[in-house]
Amino acid sequence: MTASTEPKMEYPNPLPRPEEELPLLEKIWNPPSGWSFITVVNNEYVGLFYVGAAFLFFLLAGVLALIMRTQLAVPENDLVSQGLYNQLFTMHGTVMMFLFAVPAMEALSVLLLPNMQAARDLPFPRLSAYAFWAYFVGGLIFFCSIFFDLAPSGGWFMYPPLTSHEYSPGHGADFWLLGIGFIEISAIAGAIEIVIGVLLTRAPGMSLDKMPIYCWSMLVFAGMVILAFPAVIVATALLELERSFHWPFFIAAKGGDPLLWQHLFWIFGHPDVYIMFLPAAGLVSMMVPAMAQKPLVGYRLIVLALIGTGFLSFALWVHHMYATGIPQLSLSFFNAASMAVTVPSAIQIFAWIATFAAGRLQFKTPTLFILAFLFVFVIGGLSGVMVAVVPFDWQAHDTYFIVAHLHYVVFGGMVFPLFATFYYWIPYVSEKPLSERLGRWVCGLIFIGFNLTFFPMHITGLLGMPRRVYTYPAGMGWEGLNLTSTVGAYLIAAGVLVFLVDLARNFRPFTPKKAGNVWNAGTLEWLPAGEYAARSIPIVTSREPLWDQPNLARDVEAGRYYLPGAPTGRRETIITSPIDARPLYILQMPGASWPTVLAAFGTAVFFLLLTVKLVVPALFAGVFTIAMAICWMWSTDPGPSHPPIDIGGGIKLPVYVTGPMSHSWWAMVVLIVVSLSQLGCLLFAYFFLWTVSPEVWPVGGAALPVADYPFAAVLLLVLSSCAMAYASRALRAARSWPVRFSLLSAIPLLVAAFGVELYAHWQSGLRPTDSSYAAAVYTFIATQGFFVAVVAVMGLYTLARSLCGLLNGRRRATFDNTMLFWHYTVFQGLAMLAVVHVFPRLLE
Amino acid sequence: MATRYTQATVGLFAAPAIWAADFLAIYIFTALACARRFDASTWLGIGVVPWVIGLATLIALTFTLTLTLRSLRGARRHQADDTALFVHRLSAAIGGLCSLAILWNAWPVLFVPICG
Repeated sequence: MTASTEPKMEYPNPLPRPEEELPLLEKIWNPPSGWSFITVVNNEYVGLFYVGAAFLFFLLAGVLALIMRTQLAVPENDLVSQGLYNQLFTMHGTVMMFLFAVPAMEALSVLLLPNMQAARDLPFPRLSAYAFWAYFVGGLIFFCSIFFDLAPSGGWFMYPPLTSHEYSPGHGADFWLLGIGFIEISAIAGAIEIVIGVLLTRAPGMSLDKMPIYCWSMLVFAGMVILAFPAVIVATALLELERSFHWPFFIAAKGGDPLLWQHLFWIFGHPDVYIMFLPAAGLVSMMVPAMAQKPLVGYRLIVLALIGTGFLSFALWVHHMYATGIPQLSLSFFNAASMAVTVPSAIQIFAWIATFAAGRLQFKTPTLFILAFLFVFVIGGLSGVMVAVVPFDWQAHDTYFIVAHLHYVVFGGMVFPLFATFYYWIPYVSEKPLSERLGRWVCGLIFIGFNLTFFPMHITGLLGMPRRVYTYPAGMGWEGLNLTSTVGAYLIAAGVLVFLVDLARNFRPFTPKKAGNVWNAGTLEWLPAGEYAARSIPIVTSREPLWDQPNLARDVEAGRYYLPGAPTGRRETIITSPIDARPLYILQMPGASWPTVLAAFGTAVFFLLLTVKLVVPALFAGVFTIAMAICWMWSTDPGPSHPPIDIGGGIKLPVYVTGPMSHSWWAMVVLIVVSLSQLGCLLFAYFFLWTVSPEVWPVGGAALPVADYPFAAVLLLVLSSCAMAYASRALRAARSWPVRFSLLSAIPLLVAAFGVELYAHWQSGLRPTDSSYAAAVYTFIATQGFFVAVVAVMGLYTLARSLCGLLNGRRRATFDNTMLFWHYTVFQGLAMLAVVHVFPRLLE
Repeated sequence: MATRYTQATVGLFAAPAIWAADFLAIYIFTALACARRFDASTWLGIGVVPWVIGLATLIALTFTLTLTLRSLRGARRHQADDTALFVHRLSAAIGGLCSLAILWNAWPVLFVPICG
């Protein structure tokens, strides 16, 4: 913080502002009313819905935990049956991990990120709304499965062969596989939004070195989601294919291997721990300076730590698999990485302590939760170092020690910061802050309850109690420890109950008047805001602009900075360059939309119907979803509909750009990275299965289709890409019919390439149920078929826009996106052909 | 925009990509050596697995250290530009961290049995 002296500054826009400017801005950003309210897309509304839904799942999963702890309070208890207990622990873990922890972090970013960067909203507001509704409806349906004895029971990581069709018949495992796969897709949609939001919608001047740490943490978080989540989507797809169609990926007798699931699951699962922790750490890094009234110590080191943790966490997956017989040297690689990842985590912890030590600490509820987090998370980290040591892990594996460790890390690293976040940021959205007195009770009860519940579990585990047992005999020395854990669990519940009372008494969102910056924080989300976020978009010159730029709040509210109105008559924000945040263009954003919400409902219904094997109704739901998505997107490529806009300070910005400067181009590139990640996972699966079962692979080309087929497929793929490249040139030259002809010819070329590959293997007598090799080959073909279908729909959509006169040389963002994804699909097809047809011919 | 962004992206993420490639290479090679039972093969009295891990480590370290030095030079050139200085210093730090991680991963080959 610097002393406040009024600088002689020229503001981008003069005062007074025109009278009609503010009312127009308000009108444009007002949410819809009545029934249409559920179609709202403003980040504050969707963000709060999202946080509320995630917290609801936290409560529901917490109730399941209480039932389990009650069952385990005394030995040989018969409160719940063994079968129900299996469902309880599976649902508890699954709901906490997939429906609470990760969504809660994405939800908070929807709520906080735009305002922290002084953007008016995230760049794809309808995508946020879609991700929320799809997650909420899908999550509720998934949770309700427990009331109908349909819940999965194979544990939250669903290891086969226990979860195979043979040992887990019925729909329980399918609910998990399709439900979670679908919720992960929603999470990826959110991550794409976050990447583009952080990189392209920051306030002018908010260069990378001035970006709030939370934005850094969300950028790393989103990058990790993009790289890690495709692994679990691939894993769930493979297991569902095995369960539904008997493609033997995990059946040893046919060359499969259950360890493939473990690899894919933990390639996702271990980064997922940091996917939960890093955003929480980012939130803590925002709260600590405000509570200490001191800039964060070691900003650069913390950025380094976030990025370092992000990449190192991808080398830890096997430390969940120490007991599976992997070569000893390989284990040591993961042991080393597990030790190394503690270093960046420690950097952050020391930075927070140093900031507290350097400042004047306000002992308010957020501070108390942060101190509780530090204590609990450090213990979790230390027990993590213990289980990273291979011989110790062999002893503690699958015991209550692991249950204790994972809760110290996940509850400590994510739930305590989340409660701190609630107490810290509720004044940002509510008319009143939460109660300080009740907050202390909440923190005290949860902290004591947590340690009473989980610390004894270390000892219970060392005494040999395995996890996931629904009861235990008396006389093992576990009774007192289990009873203590149960008492602790009820104390946590009491703390959460007090929090709910506090919310009911004080939380008043969606009002024009907010409690505001009660902590004297320095970052932009505390600027005075309406439905449109900040009235004008400031120029940022430091990391804590509210501390360092005198009268910033007043000047922003008066409209002195950039874009104080809505010059195009639509919702807008400024797109800035990713490194130094220079204004590039005005993004016109879509508003509320029924098709978005209906598409989300349709997606959830599609997956539900598929789960219970109602294929034809599911197809109808799928077609409905696609139709709604097309309706939603039809208006989102408006073209250069407006001349360049003067945003103030002599800066005139275009309202539409295409190519590498466009936000939609960036989003497509990120989607391609997601697709590359799933391709990498499929390739990993193929080569892993070959490593463990070479005997089912054709050697030297025997039993492979003749080479004419792959050559034909390669030719068709390349021609299809060439047709798209030609269409691009024709579009630039404003020749509409060649564009349409090329689009129309590119689709059958791509479909034919897929058909040739499918026919080649089918006529050779290979069937996907034959062996793991056959299953892997047909999985490549099915994946390519899915991409071809998506690209064909995109091609037809682009063609329709051309026929309606909505596509030309300047209005071509839709075409560019289609073309990018088209070329990726062709690349993927070529890569798969190379692996399937060349690799076996190299074998001897 | 694109050029500066590309340079920064390469600077920030090239070293982690090299670390990841090295990690996967030594992990996959060790797994194959144990699965196909050629872990006992030697050349000049040293096992094939230590040879490959040593070589992969050397190559990866060469790249990451070069990137680190390049970033440090870039930082010296951009003393007046806060953002460029930040990006170069961060790239250098990431390069250093990746170099340490690469060494750290290879270290066990000196004293841990290969297939166990």
